[in-house]
Amino acid sequence: VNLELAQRLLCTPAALSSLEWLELVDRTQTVFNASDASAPVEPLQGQHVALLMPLNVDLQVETFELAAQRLGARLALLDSDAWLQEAHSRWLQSVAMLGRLYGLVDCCGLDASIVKAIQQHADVPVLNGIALASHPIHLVADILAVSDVQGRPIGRLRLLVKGDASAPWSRMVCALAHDLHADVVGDGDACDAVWDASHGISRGRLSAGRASPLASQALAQAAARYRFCLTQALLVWLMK
Amino acid sequence: MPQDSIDHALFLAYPDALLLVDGQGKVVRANPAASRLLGYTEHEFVGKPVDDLVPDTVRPRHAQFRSAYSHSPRARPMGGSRTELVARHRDGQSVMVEIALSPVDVAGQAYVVAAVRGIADYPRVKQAVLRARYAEHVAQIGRLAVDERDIQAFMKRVPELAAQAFQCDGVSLFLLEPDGQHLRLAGGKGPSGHEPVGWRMPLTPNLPGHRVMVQNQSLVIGDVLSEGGQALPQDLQAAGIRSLLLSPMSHEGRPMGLLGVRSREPHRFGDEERNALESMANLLATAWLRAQSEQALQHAQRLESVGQLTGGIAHDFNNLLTVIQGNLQVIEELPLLQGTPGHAMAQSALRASKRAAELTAKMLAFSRRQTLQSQRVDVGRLLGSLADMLRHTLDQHIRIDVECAADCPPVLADVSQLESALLNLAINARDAMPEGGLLRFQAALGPWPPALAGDAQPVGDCVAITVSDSGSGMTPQVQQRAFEPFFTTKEVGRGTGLGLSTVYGFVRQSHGTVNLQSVLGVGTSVTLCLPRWQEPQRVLAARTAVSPGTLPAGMRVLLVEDEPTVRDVMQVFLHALGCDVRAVASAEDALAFDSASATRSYDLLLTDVALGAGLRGTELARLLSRRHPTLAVLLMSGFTQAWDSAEGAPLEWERLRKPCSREQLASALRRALDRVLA
Repeated sequence: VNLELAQRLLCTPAALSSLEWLELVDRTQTVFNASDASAPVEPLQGQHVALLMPLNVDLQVETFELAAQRLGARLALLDSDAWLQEAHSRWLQSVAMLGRLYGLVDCCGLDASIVKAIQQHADVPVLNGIALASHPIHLVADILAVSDVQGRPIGRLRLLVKGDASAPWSRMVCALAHDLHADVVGDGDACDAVWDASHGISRGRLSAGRASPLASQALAQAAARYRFCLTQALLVWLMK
Repeated sequence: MPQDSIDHALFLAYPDALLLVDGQGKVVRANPAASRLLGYTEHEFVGKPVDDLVPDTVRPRHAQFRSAYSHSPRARPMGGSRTELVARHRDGQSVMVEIALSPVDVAGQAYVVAAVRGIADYPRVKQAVLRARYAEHVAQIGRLAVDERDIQAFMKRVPELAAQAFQCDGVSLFLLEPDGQHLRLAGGKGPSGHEPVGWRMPLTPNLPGHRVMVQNQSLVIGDVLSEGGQALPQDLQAAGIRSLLLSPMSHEGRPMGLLGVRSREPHRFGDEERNALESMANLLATAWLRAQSEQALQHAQRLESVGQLTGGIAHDFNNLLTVIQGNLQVIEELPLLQGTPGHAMAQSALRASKRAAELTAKMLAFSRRQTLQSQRVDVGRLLGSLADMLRHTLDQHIRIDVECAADCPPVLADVSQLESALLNLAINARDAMPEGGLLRFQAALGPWPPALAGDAQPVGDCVAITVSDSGSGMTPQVQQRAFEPFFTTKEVGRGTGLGLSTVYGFVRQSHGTVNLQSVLGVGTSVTLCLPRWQEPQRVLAARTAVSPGTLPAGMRVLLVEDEPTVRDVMQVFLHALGCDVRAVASAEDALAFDSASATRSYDLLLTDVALGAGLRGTELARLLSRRHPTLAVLLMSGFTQAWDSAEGAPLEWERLRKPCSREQLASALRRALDRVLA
């Protein structure tokens, strides 16, 4: 199956098929394994990536910036407020121009309907904020980190979700665990990682299952590294 | 005092050379002045044939003259009033002289005394010699300008010849850089001025070169020490240069470079030198222009041939893509495929085919075969709007300026293609400025640049739209190939190499010209010269706005397409749009079908333009339109030059470019109907 992510919005847990999740896991793992290699590889050399976001809001996009730059891409930060104001009167032209100037556009902090409207006419991959750590796609990085830190293959992981089971994040964990053949366990059972979504945090707080502060710290560090690798894997997948 | 002693003393003291020659033409005696003039000792003179003392070229004539003189010897000057006499020095050099001959009888023997006076130091002679030398070198440069095909070799040789002619301490040949702010050393000769060829000198106002370029006149600086305000480059000062002569190379009043000579001697250059140097500079300018013109012509011819090849390929691809795209669209919509991996694969293939169609469209644009909807375009408004959008879409490190002259008139062009061309140039500029910089759009009315050989020189003025950047610039090698299709300096797989070539094709198809200037490390500017819009101008009717209305149910369409696979796809599309289709393969079949019924049995004619060996689609449309004035007509082609050149006149029918999607077909059908209704 030709897994082509181009033009696909990665905004909902159901956006990717099982095959695509597996492919993404595989690609992220490959980037992670290769990240220690000394020779710098810049597969996106000469490519241009735009981050369309409100520049007056402090959004944490450093991981994305660094990931894109390490791949050789040139990153432009565009003020979404100014852009939307300009694009208002000539939407098609403005979006088409965005598509001609950049090989990928990530929209951070924009309404999903606007992202979809841009995606419709830009003719390049348009994403809805994968630069932000809160994007559900980064759950893949979390699970890879859990597997790494706990030393268990993904298929044998026991994952626990606390809080609102109907929240998108909780549903995403369950769906992904199902696709990756990991177990979702009930509260009180032994587990390798816990996502606590009970405090209204959009992205569940991840901790190690056995309540070891050291393990949780190692998990957080590994998750950050995997997020970087996942971002790189996605950029290469979408743009190359 | 004895007479002999007096005679001898006179002979020795006489300031002119005296040679006593016997009847056989041999020197019997010579005085010291003769030794000084011709380089032989008095002893060496004795017994030397006097014929040896004239240059080789005149020796035979000299012998004849001597023989004639011996028959009627008398005191008289040698040569006529317009004859310049030349003696041969011992070292082989020629010495300009005046000679007086007198017969002498010594003890019954006939001798001749030749009084020879060197005149090389006479001002008039000096001037004549100088002029002759300058003229000879100017002639040499002229011959070289004609014979030498390699302009670089020519540029190298001219300073050498100039140095020989002026016998000065250095010669430099500079060409004006495209930025107008620098001169580039194109050739040089002499111990002072050690800069290598290619060195760029800023045209700062206090330098003599600046004055020459601004005033477009020669400049003589007699003594840099006494003529205040004349700054010299440091290396020339260090070399002790005192006097300079600079002459501009210009064409139609515009300086394009300068030729300069310099000397350590003050007041070394005068009017003679100025005239000679101006002649050399003019020859240089002519040769340089010719070389540029030849280069441009070769380039244009190469692009033309590549364009023909590209256009042909694009045409064939369009037919193939029509079939591929049409069938994929049908497959994608098959109910049994919905929700299966096959559906995603069909979508992916459809997207790829659309990208392929975009590529062929670019290839057609380069080969000047795209459909243009020329109209009045307000350049100032277009540039302002484009710049506004770019300001919000480009990286903030790139500053964008717009300078549109207040009197800049509108142009005649396809507005969307012009905007696309400008955007292409802006993208190139962005890529050339990874660390940011200045992107500038300028527009002004100006004269048409000189036409290429083979092209008619456009009359009147043009509008020059320039897009410039302060980026990395291009090497001359890259500039040479910049407009070639598929040539790119971007990373493998990044650029299609069709950006600048589509700009070139669009502008040429719009009866304009493109000029690219680039300096490595300084930036690039591309100027599009387009015809100004003039009233009244017959232009293609603007495309009718797409009506949101749907097609009439059961609309009867006569489809004429000679390619069976394309015909099949179009039939499928038309059926899907609810049309009643009659498909035929040729114009002749269509005419037969039309004649078969007394009344018109179809509402719209949809025909390909190129229909094999028979009638063309445009001819068919014309015939059927005459029979049925209210017939809606839609022409389609993947080779749009076909309809652009139809009898040289713009067509009144709607057109559809292949390949097309079903939606594009529906939209074009609607426009064709609307046109008839209107």
